[in-house]
Amino acid sequence: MARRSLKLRLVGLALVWTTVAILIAGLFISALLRQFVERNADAQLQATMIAVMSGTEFDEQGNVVIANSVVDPRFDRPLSGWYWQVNDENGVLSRSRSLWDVELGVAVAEPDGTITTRTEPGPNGAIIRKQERDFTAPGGTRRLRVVVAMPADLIEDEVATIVQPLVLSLALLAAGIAIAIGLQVHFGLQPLAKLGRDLAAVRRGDKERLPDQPYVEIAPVASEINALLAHNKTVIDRARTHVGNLAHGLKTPLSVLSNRLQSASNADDAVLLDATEQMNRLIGHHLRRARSAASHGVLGARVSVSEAISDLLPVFRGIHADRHLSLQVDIDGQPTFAGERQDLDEMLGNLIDNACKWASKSVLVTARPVDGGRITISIRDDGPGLAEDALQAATSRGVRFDESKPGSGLGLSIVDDLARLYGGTLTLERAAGSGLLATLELPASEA
Amino acid sequence: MRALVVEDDERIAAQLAEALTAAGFAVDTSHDGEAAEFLGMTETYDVVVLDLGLPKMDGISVLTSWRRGKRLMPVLILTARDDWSEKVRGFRAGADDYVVKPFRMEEVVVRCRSIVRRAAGHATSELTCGPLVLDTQLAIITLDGLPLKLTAFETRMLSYLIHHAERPITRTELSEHLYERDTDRDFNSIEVIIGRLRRKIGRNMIETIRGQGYRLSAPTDA
Repeated sequence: MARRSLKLRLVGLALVWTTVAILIAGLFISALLRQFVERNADAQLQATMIAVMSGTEFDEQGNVVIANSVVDPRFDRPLSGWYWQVNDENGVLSRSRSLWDVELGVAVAEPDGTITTRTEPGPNGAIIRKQERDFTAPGGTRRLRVVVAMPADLIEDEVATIVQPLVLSLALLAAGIAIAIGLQVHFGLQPLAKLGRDLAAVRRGDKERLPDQPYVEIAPVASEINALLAHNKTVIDRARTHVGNLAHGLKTPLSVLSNRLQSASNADDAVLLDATEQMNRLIGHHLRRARSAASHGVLGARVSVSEAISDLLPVFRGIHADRHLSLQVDIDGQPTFAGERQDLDEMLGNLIDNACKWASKSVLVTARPVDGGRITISIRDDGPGLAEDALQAATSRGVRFDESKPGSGLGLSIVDDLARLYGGTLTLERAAGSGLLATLELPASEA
Repeated sequence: MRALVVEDDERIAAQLAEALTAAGFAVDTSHDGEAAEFLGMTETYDVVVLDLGLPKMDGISVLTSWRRGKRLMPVLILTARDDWSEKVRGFRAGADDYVVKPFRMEEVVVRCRSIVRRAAGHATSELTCGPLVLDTQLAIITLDGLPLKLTAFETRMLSYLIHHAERPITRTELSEHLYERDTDRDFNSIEVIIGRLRRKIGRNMIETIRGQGYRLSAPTDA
């Protein structure tokens, strides 16, 4: 399944909305600005218009006299775009020098005093903004029309000079908001990312439960997961307790039975005695397997190998005290096993016990972390060792190589089973010199 | 040599007591943890056979309590749970050895003898004191290589003396280690037994130390 990012989703949505809002605001503000600039320009045009109108009057003969009252030199430069013109109903009466002999078009007459504004191509093709109105000059009754114009580019230029920084600043604002959203989402979602890391730590076995969450939104998730972990553990513990109780319950009567049978000594009793011993072995084997199957995959389990070994050593020093063995331990770094303490005890216990039974003088236990998240633990004795074919058969169920040494013969197969359950291996080989070298390779828990 | 058997299953307790008595121990029996804890704290035992699954107080707690109270007698634990974590727990609490159920009685007896010997500071299974040799595994005492004919009580006393050879042992100590609980402890009968032992192994090996008790030592030629 293609994974979609919650972060991208949040950022994307927020960006779409802010972009739309900023665009609308930009359009609105630039329209306002344009209006403002145009009103400014119109005010200039009207000032010119008033100057022209106030310089226009009729003399006694009824002729129109137009004093050139517009002093702005732009109206003198030919085709500058700045024009004025006064008409009567027969045509042009007077015009600015910038018009030469060109005539500005006149719109349809509006009621007196109403100003008509339009933007259109001027005499030389350049766009001009043009205002015109009818008026009557002092001393006459004829209606005259005044037309003033300015280049439209000027307005566009001015709008542009204001809108450009506006667009820039809006763009900056958009970028700032985008960054802010990104940061907000990143930091806002960090508890989720942390929850993920904590869960991973639980799965690896570095933590037993998720830490308490300070955020109300994820606290229920974390506490549910913790409850699930706890429930899981309870179920397994209960199963384990039942298994233990069953073992205890069966073994005591078996003890009674086998001791009673031992004291009698006819052939039938010997058969029964064998049967009780076989029952005992099978119970032990299957209970252990059941226990290890239940224990495997418990989340959050990790064990320090050196701790387990140092707890086990006094047991062997006690059990094998009469053999005066030298038990040496050599641990490199801090190997930790990703699994249950009981299972590690079981594997190490059986292997070291075997080594102690067979060793002539010394047993060496070494443990170290290796690359790829694994640990190796090897146990070497200086006893007689095993032949090549016996090495192969050693881990199959219940094989005993020498009936003269005590033990059920299930030890190695249990170790092999457990190692496999954890995705590890048990290898047996002849040690350099003499003796047996048993090596366990197991998954490590990351520190 | 006195032994305490702590086991809640009465059939097994009886079988154990029988086997240990036959092996020359004076045996007391207890069926629950609290009683066992009290006995261990107040009586003197040379060895304790302690089941871990007990009513009222579990075996590990009993053992921990003894060790905390400086009761250092060797303890053999009996456990139905044949896993190493259980053994580790037992040894951490202060056990000296363990036997897994179901077990053979001979095994318990052999283990008891060997932890008694180790607790007395002897590294090998044969204890020697001059011409006397005690094979702790078989519980046979020989004098100059020939087996001694001894009664059960004589064997019990002499093996205690051999375990603690060269050390003065008071009559009180001897009586504590030789008699079951609730039996009359009679110093006169101890003197009688000492007298009989002297006749069997030679008058000069057990000396009476006035005001202190007895000492078994290898005879010096001088």
